[in-house]
Amino acid sequence: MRDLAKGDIRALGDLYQRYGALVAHAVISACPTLPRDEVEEVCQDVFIAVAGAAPRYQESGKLRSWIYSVAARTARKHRRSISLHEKLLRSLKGFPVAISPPRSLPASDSMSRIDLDTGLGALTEVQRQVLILFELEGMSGEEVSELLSIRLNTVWSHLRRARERLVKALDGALPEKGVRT
Amino acid sequence: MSMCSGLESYLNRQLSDVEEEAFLRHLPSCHSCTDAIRRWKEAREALKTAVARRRPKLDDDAVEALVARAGARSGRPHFHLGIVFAGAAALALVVLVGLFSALKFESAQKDDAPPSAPLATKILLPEDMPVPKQDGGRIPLVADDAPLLAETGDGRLGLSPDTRLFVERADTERIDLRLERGRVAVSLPQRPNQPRMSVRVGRLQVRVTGTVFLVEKTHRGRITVAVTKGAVRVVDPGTGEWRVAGGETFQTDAQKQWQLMKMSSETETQTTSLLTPPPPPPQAAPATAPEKLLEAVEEDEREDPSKPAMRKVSKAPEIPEIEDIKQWILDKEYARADRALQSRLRNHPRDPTALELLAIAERKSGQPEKAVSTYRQIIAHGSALERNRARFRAGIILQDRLYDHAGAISMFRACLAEAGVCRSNAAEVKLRLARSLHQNGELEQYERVLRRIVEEHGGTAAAEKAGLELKRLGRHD
Repeated sequence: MRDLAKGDIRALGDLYQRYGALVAHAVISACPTLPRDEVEEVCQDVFIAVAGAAPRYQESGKLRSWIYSVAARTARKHRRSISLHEKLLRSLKGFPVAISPPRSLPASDSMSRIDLDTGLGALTEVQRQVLILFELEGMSGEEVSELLSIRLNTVWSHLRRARERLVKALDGALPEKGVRT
Repeated sequence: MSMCSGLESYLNRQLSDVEEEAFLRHLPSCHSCTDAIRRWKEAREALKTAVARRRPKLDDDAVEALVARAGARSGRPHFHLGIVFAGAAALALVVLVGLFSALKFESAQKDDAPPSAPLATKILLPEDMPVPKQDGGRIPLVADDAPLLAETGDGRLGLSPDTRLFVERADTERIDLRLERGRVAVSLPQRPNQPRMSVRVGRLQVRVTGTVFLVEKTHRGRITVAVTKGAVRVVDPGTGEWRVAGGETFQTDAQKQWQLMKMSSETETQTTSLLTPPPPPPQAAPATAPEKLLEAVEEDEREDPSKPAMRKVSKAPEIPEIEDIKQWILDKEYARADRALQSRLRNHPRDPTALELLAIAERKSGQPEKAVSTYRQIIAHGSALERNRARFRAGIILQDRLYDHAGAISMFRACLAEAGVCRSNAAEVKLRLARSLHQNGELEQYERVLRRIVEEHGGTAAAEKAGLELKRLGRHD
């Protein structure tokens, strides 16, 4: 961060490799329907925002939390913008909202039967965040609690509900509700 | 602690080693815990796969793309199209004269007749923008958010947004360029004593002797060389050499797969567009509401009669936010949205977001031809993702509103040709393509595309529709 604050843009590359997955998970938690290209674009936006804020950043040992919060904010802003844009496109008759993922994955691919739209879309944003940080980032409950600034018991509670809903979605028991925020 | 109540603690990784061992020992005799763990493991694996598909790669290419984009946006003021002819406005800061002065000097010596056009290449920069420093003996030419057009003699270089090009050598014998990222169009008329030009891009070298062509390198390593006029030689050291003639496009990727194909009309449009200077910006809009402008006269300057009174405009008319404009369009306030968008486009004539909203407003207010024309502007100047969205939407208007199926076919094909950015909605694009092929009487192609949809996109809504259409043809297997 010190190098970045001095204007060394190449230091951004190191940050990207270190925190890129975490940022991507934050973006996917906020916008689970985005295709990979757009996730990458939003991730780049996050790191460019980090680079811009680097001179003002004060080292406090919480860089990971800070980057995650920038990522979550940037992703939510992107989601609001997309939501309004999609509303606009839907108002055009016969004009499909482009860049939409396929409605269902091939049935033969049983390992990926969860469609992100129905599976993760059935969870609230904070449930997605908790689930992805715990299961995919491998964080402990305490680390998730600190990162998201929520109580530990709340983390466990979100985790329980997220698992229940995800398993139900896989079983097809939960109807599609659109993306819950 | 009962074993089944330990299930949640087990999943939460809260059990000690001893507790976990005891929990696992009880599983063979507990069907409900075993089943719950199995179902959760399946769900977790599916979650991992689904997220991994959306997660971008963190390889060197991705890092380079980020660094290039961040570097291009690192607090430098935007500059619009910069092109200078002899006698242009004196407020401009002129750069690169030193680089090309040798060219000017040498050429003047070689040619007896005085040059008919200025030979120095100049690029207009805002006054407060620093002169680009040499980077290891190279001069960088960087286009940020807006394209850049540079002239050398009667040749031209046109850079699209987010492009980095280095001038490694420029003298009377040779002009050597290196394209690090983005797209550059080159026009170099064939003349006696014209310096030989080459463009290095990735592992390739493009050798030029008088032609009009375009070179592009995406951050995923795909390189395209498209020749409008004349011919170039493309050299891939250790692999081979190709001659690419006018009307042809050469393409290769990071895996060294290559193809030579006919150049699309779109690529020709992009090349021409990059090499054409835009019209001069219109006069700034006059203040509309007196209350929005404040004029103040500096008191101290008034006191000194030798100094002219300075007039300060302290507040410019506001440019509406994009989100407001979207809401106006939704509320059918098209005239208001149009005014706001025109105001935005005056400052950034090629802003893809503003152009897209303009196209949508034109479409909604019953002006489909204008909407297609606006989408063509995005296609000419936008990023790969923006281009493909614009192609798809323009294609739909051509198909559904203007019944121009030949035009729609061209749009959808171009959309699919940029496969890297068309993955997500490829099935829908192919279905639309099929329908236009059918309307255009290309029945064999129509059937072929329907079959491809069924084979490659099984399980999707598009494949279902394609299957139904094949059934109607009596061709469904």
